[in-house]
Amino acid sequence: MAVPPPGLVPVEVVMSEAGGWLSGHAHFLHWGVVQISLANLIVIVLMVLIFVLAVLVKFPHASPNDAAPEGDNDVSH
Amino acid sequence: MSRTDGTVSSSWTVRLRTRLSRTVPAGQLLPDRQPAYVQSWIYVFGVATLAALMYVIASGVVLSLKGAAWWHSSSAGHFVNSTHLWSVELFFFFMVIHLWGKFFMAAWRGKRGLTWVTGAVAFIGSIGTAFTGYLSQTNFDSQWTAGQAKDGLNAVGVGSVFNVLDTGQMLLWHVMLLPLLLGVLVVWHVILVRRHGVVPPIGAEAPDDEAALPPNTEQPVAAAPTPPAAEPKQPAGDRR
Amino acid sequence: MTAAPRQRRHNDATPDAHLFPTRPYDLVKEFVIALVVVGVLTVLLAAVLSSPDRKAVTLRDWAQAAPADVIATATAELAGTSTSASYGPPYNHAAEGQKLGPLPLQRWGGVRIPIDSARDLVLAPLGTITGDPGLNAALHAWNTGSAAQQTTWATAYADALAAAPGADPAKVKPGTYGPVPVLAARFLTLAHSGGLEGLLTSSSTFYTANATKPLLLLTDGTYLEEQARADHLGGDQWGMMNETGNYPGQPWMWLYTFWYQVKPFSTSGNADALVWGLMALLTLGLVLVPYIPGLRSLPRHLGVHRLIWRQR
Repeated sequence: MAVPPPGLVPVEVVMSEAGGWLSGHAHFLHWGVVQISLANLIVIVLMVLIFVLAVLVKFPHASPNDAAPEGDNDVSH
Repeated sequence: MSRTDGTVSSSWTVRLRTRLSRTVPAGQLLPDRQPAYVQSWIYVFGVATLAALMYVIASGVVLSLKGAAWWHSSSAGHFVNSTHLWSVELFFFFMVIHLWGKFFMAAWRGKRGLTWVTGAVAFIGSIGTAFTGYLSQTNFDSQWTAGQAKDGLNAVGVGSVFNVLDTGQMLLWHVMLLPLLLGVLVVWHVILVRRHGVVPPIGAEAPDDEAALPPNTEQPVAAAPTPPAAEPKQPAGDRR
Repeated sequence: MTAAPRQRRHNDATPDAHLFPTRPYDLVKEFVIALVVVGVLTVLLAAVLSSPDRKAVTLRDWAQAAPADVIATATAELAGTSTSASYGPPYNHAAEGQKLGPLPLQRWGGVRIPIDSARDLVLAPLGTITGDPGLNAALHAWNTGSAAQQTTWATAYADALAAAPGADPAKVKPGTYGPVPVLAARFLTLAHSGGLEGLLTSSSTFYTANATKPLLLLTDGTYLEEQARADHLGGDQWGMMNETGNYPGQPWMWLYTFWYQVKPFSTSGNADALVWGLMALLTLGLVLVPYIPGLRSLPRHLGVHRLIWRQR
């Protein structure tokens, strides 16, 4: 490789990113001291949403014959 | 088990076996019944976290088969790396929702403090394990993460033991050391859940629970064998 | 059956879970369903969104993209003013390092990864080059100079570079810099060759997996940080939470990185130690929730459990 002289004009080095369509420049939201990427915000919002849904949405009802009288269990604790 | 005359066996094997068999009440390691109050979607997030962990480990095993740099040059390797990343994201996603649920349920009640502790330590341990994973990517992210993290660790004097710039060390911690420790915590956590059962609702009273319930969980397991899983005849009542 | 009641730490009247009515439940089926659902999600996400793999910055990349930064960094190593040269433990004794209040934690860690930045990162690799009389003369001049002389040369050159337009060595004002300009220029050439990582890690051992020296060198420059900051990965950009590109990063790091954004941490020289100390405390609090009065009764007052256990 030829010896580059000092003061060589920088060559733009391409930083390849072998990812999918989430590669490329990130989108960030700013609010006061808070800076958050859109991706992270979506993840956090999804988590809160799913938590709320998990608490509120009805779980499939047990059939009437399901419950056993107490004491039917194998062993006490 | 103990001898029929009530004395303790001198055999270490018997004593260990007895102790192990009492870790979880008989039939409760894989019970086919659960308390009727377990009826909410919030309860699925523990098992969802476990399932995600299975995929983290499986994809990690595949990555380790072909080496640390495989995924940079192979599209199959890159796909496996992607499954490793997304199973980790799902793992944390479900685990934190599980943590929120357990907090709001005050699930540490009824001698379940250690269940909470093992879970919380596993959460912190997972963060550390994931961190060594980021360091092991052998790409720009690893370089930057290492350069930054070293300042935090050096500042508290542990940077020479936990040398994030030593890729070989971090890779071994990520693949071997930390998953092993995490595995022990997770198994312990699950065994504790099986041992104590799912925590009753806050303020709940067990049917006919006037007398003191057995305070000592180390009591011998009752001799009655587990009844077959027959459908009970009685309908669910408004018992509580 | 009842033994003497054990002394309870506090009033925990939680009844035994096994006393309650039960219903059949297929635990194994639940686990298999979870495996299938999570498996499908994982494969879908991986197939559609893939994962980031931003190529590592080689020292050759650095030399090509930011040659002035390489020259300035090599000079700073020789002057003892680079980040690594003035770091303190575990690399050297140049500084005491950070403290957590009165506790000199960084110093307590000791110098257990000894690195002489000038010698290990610049001069030793240069010393392996043969057939370059100009370089040999420069190295000889450096090695025969006193420590004070070396510092004077390197510091003067560093100042001159900073004052030159574009930090271009060709535009530096004439001055007394000793052999430093030649050493720095040859160092840039060496970085261009692509062999510098090897010289820093494995020239005497063949095998290595320890990237300490090349990483210290690279992070002594400004190029890596500029690249990182462009992706919001900087410490004061909530960087700990972020990932390259548009990928979700580590949202669970939100509280750890939050402290770095606000005073007094954002302006403190002991920020790392202080944040670590605070987070260690909070983490302990999280782990010990069941045993902390007030905190352990919070769920009862918040009432979310009434939704979870509501009668249907």
